Amino acid sequence: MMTGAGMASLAGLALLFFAWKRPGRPWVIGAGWALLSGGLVMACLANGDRGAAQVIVIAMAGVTIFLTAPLLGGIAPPMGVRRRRPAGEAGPIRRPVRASLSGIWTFILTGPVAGAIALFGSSVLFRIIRPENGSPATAGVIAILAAVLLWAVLSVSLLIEPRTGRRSAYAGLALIATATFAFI
Amino acid sequence: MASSIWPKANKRLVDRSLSAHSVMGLLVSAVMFIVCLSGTVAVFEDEIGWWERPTAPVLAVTPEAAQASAERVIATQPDTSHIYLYLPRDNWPRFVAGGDDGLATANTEGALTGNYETPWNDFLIHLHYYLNLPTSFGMIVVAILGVMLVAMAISGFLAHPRIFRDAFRLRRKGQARIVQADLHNRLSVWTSPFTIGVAATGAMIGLFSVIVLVLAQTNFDGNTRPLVEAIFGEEPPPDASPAGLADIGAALAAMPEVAPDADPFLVVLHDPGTAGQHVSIYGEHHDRLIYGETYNFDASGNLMGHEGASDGEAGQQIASSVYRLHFGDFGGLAVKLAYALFGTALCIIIAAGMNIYFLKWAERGAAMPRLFSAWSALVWGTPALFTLTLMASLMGISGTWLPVLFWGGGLVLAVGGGLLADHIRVGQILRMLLWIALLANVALHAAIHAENYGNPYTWITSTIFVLFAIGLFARSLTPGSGKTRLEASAAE
Repeated sequence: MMTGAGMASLAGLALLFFAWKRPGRPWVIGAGWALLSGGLVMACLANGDRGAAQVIVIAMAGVTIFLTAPLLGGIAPPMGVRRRRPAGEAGPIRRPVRASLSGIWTFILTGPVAGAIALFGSSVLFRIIRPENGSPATAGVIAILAAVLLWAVLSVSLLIEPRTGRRSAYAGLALIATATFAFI
Repeated sequence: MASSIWPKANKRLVDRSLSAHSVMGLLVSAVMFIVCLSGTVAVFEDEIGWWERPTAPVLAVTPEAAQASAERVIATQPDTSHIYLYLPRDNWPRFVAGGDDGLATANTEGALTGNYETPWNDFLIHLHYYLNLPTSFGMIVVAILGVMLVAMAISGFLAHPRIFRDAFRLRRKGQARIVQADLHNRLSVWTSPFTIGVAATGAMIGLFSVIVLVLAQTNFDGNTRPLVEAIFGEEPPPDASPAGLADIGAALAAMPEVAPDADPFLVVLHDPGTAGQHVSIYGEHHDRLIYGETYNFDASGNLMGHEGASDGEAGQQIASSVYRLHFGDFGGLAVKLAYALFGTALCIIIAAGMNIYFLKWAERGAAMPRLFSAWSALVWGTPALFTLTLMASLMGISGTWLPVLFWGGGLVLAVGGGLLADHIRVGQILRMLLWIALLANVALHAAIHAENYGNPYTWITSTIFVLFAIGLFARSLTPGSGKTRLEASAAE
């Protein structure tokens, strides 16, 4: 059954490739995703959660090999075309001290501060989902996973905000709010 | 004009996400590359350990032999707080026993046959887990890199408006930056389940103690035990009064009846030789992702219960599944090979990401040949230094010398690469060093361990090293590899 699941996944990927290569047939895309999903279900039935992980590995390996095999024939080396700046054109204005300080502040916000917000946020989540009586194991593990994902999302979100002032304000407010709720 | 079926992306969000993605990449790429490459090699830690310390295979161990080995361990390490017996399993035909003061190989009778020392493997694992920093701090640093990798995957997706339209597009020729961008984007998207899975599970493992500490401070008055014990089970109270060694053999003999679907692979005797001693047997369930279910026995070999990784709280099952997912240990050699492929792809993604950055600046008329060259030295120098440290280890150099050689060598190569200011040439030199060192390692190993080359694990690993070296050598002969510089545009 695992073999069937693997074959179904690879066939699904093949259909998606053909749909991409020759667009205009949406049913092929549907069939591709259906085969991929079917493969996943079959793998789950055959080998539980390990089967699901295995079939995802098969699908990823299939497409990675498909994409990278032609690269063995060689690719363009990473040699860029260096443009010389025309005479009179000013180079980018550099303010190394200011840029460094801004960079350090951004690092602090998106690293430790985002991490602290995520940890306090996951703590609040744990308090909400933790059962009154009984084992806190599931709530604890969800909180641990949430802390990791929240930290990643917060880092990206803070970096996406281009204005340092707003970025700092958002981070500061979130830190105060989550810390307050975590320790109440 | 026909309308596209693909959703339209918000250009401002795409630009800002791309900027966020670049900032994070610039910040962590170098260290991330080392962690990812060491992790990729560490997928084969069992095989490399076996190659480094080859012994006669042990395919099965009887309960009596397990008991005999435990008795020998306690005789050589009377003060040990635990006895560990690593039993043979699929792809791991070894029997290793030991305690707090070290491990030894054992034969089928349970006799200890020599120290189980794999210094290079230990160095590699220490590098991947802790970046050779003090362990508690290093693990947190590496875990934060895992968080950053998840963040980069998220920002990468947000910055990728043509994810479906370009799903299979991978141009090999043409403008170098486009080629590198295609490589970076396609591999990133298709291997994202692996990247996010491995990064998140790595971060969970590394940050576990920190997060639990915060959860304990805010929910359990600073006491971490309720949560840790809820997830990993409680230990019986210790009783230090002396007693005869526990009957590990009886516990192992009971396993087929207690858990017929579980393959025992690790036995841990807690507090050996005391009245409070108990035996934990870890059994692999082949249809589950869990690391293993822990079956606990008392000193007489009577079942006390199991911890619930296989059928307990969902949280226990998830926590126990993190390890095999991270290490790619859920489908034998096939999954390990796939993990090595994805790990290599991740290293290529990181390298290509930085290449895009340098090429973009070159196109803007602000090339950074020294930095680009230093980056090339790091990318190709890291595997070269792995092989050089392996050679040093085979020659008997171990302990702190291996990290010193690796990090010191890395610094020298990065500075030397920067001074050379020619990233292509630096790559060529280091690839040559890599394949020569690989061949030298195999020759040296064959000279030291010639008597073990009847063992397929040994010669297959050596053969793979040789094939890898030949592959690198062959690539160095391909035409076009002599071009060396960021070339000036004809259209300047």
